[in-house]
Amino acid sequence: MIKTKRLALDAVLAAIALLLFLVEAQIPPLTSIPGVKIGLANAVTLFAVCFLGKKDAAAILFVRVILGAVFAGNLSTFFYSASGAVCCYLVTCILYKPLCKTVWVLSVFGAAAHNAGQLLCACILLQSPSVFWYFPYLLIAAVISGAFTGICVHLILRRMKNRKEKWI
Amino acid sequence: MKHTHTLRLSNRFWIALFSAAVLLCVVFIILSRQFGSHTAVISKNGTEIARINLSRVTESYTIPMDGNVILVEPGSIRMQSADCPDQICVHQGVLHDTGRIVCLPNRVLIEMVHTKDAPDAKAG
Amino acid sequence: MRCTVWKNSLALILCACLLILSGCGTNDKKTVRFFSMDTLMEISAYGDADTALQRARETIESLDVLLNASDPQSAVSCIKNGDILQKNILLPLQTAQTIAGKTNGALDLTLFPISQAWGFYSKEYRVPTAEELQELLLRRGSFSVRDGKYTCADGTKLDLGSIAKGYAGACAAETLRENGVRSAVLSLGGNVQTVGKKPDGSDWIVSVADPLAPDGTVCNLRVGETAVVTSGSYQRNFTQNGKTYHHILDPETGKPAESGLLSVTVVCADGTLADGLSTALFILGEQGIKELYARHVFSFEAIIITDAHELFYTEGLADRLEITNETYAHSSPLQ
Repeated sequence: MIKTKRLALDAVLAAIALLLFLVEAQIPPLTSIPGVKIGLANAVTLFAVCFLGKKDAAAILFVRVILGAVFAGNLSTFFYSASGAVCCYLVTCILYKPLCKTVWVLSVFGAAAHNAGQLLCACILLQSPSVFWYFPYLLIAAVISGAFTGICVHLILRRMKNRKEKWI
Repeated sequence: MKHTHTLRLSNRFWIALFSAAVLLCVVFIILSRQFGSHTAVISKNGTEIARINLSRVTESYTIPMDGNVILVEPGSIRMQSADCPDQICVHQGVLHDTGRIVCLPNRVLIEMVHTKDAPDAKAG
Repeated sequence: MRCTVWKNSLALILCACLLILSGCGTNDKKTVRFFSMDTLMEISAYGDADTALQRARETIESLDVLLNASDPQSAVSCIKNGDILQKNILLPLQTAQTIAGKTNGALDLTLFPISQAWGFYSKEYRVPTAEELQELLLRRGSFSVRDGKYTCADGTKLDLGSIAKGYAGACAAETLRENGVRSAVLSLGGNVQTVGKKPDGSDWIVSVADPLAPDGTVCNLRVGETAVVTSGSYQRNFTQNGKTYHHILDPETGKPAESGLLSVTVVCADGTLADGLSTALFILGEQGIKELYARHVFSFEAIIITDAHELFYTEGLADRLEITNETYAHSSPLQ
């Protein structure tokens, strides 16, 4: 029963992540590199890591990246979103232990990693290191969007904490 | 009580750190826009066609010039494609603040120039 | 206590937003580039100007269709004796007529057949024989405009090439203003027209091309809302048997003007006048420019570069000019 519930939650989270990803595609781009995004969908990654654990988070991320590419984009969009998502995931996992008390800080680091990953990917795909001129812009965006999503996740986690046993 | 105390400090610490990072970025952006004025000059047959201050470019765009396509990006410029047989210009890569890209067959030259007070337009 | 955390966070976010906005706002420049009138045009406007830029581009492109002398179907090619002219042909013709009247006919819009004989339109350059030129000069015709009515001699073929870009610049600037743009710079293949001042209130900086090496510049000019137009022998020319022939033809001889100048840059509030004057002044030469300037017939300033590589400027430019090229370091006011 619990396993089914958990699977359902994973699916719901993947759907939310996908939705955020698609909504974000409508936000005017910060850079001229198509596919480089602020990374609102990382809120779900963060929540999943905190609430369900790293394995579930990885699964949700995988589904989101693949389906996101299918629904909204081409191969390069896939590369950007995958590199950003993977970097964000890795940094979130690594920093989870020391920073799990301050989720918004964790979120900012995740967002920064997301943007750094995307720039790295753009750097490789476009074969021009000049894209790192964007980094200051993206870092500012990361702090804002990271803090915002972090606070959201924090609030949700606080509400969900008491009911954690129900799910897992 | 002690726990909440450290949490508060730590929050303050992070807020200060991120504020500083954001401030640093803003300063960097403003400085790079004002002082890092690297200007690329595109000419064909020795005639100047465009003069672009790369540090003021915020969105990438291409300049098609019969045969050659030049890609202008924030802070950089390069030959995206060319119909010449040797493709040397395409392989010359990206210009940031120095150097030049030459397409001899089509007589297109992209050259970086340094000017402190870059003109807004050129007459003649 | 928890409350202060959120307050702090919110403050941080707001600050960051403000900083970003203040960082971007001043540099919000939009640019369109396109080819029209046989040259690259670039219009940059500050602020929310996408529609305005598009309209300005349409203005120029419609004028290109109207004023293109190389197209036998264009409105300007189809003008007949006795026609009542439409505004967009009338205004540049009136300006040209005024300039011609005050400069002893230095600006002549009826030289199309001669320009064609030199190959400046087809780019198949050749040097016409003396007899050919003589004959073309006799047949070139003349025109006048009075109360919007056009009268001309038989065989007159109008060519607004020496004034069309200036007029187009003035019209495009007007279009931008009508669409709410307060700060813009138009560069129509070397004809510069500005709208207002820079967003921060400072002057525009317009450089002047070096006639010896057109890639480079000679000087920077600080200007407000005005037009800056350069006519130079370097802009279009060809070399045959060791002699270089340029495209600014002297109406007296039908040959490239030999006035001892390499280029003339005119700064003038009226873009049409600036464009026409730059051609006329090039043909007049240093002495003629001096006299015209002293007579105060037209309100303009000018920079002239002679074939001895000297640079002269009119007194109104003395504190707006900064020489950036060592070759012309010994510049002096025109007097």
